[in-house]
Amino acid sequence: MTDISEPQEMRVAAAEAFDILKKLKSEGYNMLVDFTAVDYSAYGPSGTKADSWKRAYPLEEESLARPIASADGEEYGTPHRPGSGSLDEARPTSPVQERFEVVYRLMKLDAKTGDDLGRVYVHCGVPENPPVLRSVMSLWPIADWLEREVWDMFGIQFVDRPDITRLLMYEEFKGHPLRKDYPITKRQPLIGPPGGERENSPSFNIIRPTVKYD
Amino acid sequence: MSDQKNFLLNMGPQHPAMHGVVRLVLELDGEKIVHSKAEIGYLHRAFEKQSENEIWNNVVPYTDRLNYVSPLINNVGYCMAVEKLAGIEIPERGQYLRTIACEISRVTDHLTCVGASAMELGAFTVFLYLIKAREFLYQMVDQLTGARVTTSYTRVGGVKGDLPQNFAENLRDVFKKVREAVVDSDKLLTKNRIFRDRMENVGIISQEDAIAYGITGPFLRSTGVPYDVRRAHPYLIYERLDFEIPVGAKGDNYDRYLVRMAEIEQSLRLIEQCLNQIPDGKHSLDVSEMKDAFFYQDAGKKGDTALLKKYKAKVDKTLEGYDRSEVGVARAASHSAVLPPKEETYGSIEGLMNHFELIMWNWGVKIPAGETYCAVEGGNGELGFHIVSSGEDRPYRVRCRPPCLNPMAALSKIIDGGWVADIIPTFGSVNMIAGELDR
Repeated sequence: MTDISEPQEMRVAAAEAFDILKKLKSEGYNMLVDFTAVDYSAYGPSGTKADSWKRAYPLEEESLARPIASADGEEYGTPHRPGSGSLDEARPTSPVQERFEVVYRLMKLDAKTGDDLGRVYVHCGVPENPPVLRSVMSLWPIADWLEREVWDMFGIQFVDRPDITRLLMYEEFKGHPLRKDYPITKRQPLIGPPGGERENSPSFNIIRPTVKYD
Repeated sequence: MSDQKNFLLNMGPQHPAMHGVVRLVLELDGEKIVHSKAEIGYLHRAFEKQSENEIWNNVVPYTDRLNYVSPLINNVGYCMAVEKLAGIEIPERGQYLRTIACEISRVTDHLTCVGASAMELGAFTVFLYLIKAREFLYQMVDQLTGARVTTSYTRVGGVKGDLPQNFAENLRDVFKKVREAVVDSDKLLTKNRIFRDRMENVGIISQEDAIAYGITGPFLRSTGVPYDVRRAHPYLIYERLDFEIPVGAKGDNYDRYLVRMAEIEQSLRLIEQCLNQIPDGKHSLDVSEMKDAFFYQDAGKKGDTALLKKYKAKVDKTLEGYDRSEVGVARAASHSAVLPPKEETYGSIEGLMNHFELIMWNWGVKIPAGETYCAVEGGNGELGFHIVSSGEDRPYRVRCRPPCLNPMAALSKIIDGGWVADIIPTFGSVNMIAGELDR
């Protein structure tokens, strides 16, 4: 049994990602465990605008590494406010300069013993315009479906692979739902005449007001 | 014959032999599959998008719906990922409770998979036996969590409550019935000529292909790779438990069936070890020292606040195992993440404030900014949660790594060149759960 509690983390540029992944594959990282993306465009406390990723918040190590479990044995009597509720406190900075970040999680799996001989998580920033990456389908075939999902949900394009189609949504779907600027209340029902609904028809793309909780 | 065209057939999305909403587009030459394509997404419910708009604890009920035959593993996996990011350690008894919950769910998952795929091959008796056994386990889950399927058992920092009374005895009784059902099914299937003809040497996948497709769980173990997250990266208390990892040799449907049957027994063993080892968690708080909550209100209105310190409030139990004495040992002591026991909420002003701070909109549990990935062994393989927090009371991004996506992606490769009738056992052994596949 090998104890790999801390996987290796790596940050690479989009242009050299493929070469590094290819090198890792040849070093024995035979399994692509997961591949996904994060849209950092709304990163920060609530109330910031969708383009807040462009604003540079001062990075404070303290706020990022605050332990939450240190309250063991603490008295209820002390006034306590959990987390960083106040806007005066340091806001977290987006860890990437670009809008998107994709993560490749690779594992070196020993087929004989079933041990995990090491993991490496490759983080790669992807710019907003144009969001293009080189496909790793030639290295790990599972990347086919995972890249389709990332294209479907985030609109990140992949070159050097066959035509890409959406994985979960239908082809007529407009937009990429896991982007932060896609409103959660937007509806795109797949109903109506075969040619699709006219854009000015009453049920097309109804945007309902977001729910206010306070 | 040469000018005869291949036949295009849609199998699904609604088809009685396809458990789960998935569409297979088959190009057939007679009964032979020339080319196939799987189309998924019919059960997409925007789990990941919805999670970004819910507070940390409110995501838990959504995770029930991921793999709905083993919901407890999803609950545990999500909460462990959040706790990893926040650095919360839950008490030992809480970890045992989670392990017991996980293993019960794994048994129900395998019982469903084996039962349903046997039924599709005509063995309806086996289906009834195994689903009956599953129902006994669901009743135990019901006692533990308050619901059969939509469990929502875990919280960030612990579990909903302690074990109900006589749980261990009842569970041991249920295990006898489950073992009987498994033995009966084993007698009906394992040496059955019809069953073996349909399963053996069908749906073979090689070790290299399985690894290249990132397949984990029973599907990978059937090819002879003993990879199990519980062994490779022990979480909870699996390090202390003794269990074997059954592996197959050929990687065909029959091996996958045998691996699942063997894992049922291993999971039952694990739970029995947990029940023997679980530390006693009873606190020494005596019920007779408590008084009803309204008593405090009346006394407080009269200005008699001295009582507040003297007594603890007694409140109605909403669920067995939800007492102050029991919650205290099943959950972490972090006041910034874990709701106080009901006795303190109703019995003291500090507990009340603490409760409201965790419940109010925009206050709640706040997880430090950061990113993490945490994997547990689900019914189908490595179930991973990738969580990004921006320091708010809501997740910034939740990504679930669905373990059955990988065999589904490899399905076309497995069934191409085979016969149409072989799709049914192969697809059954993938154990596709549309809830987690489409999220």
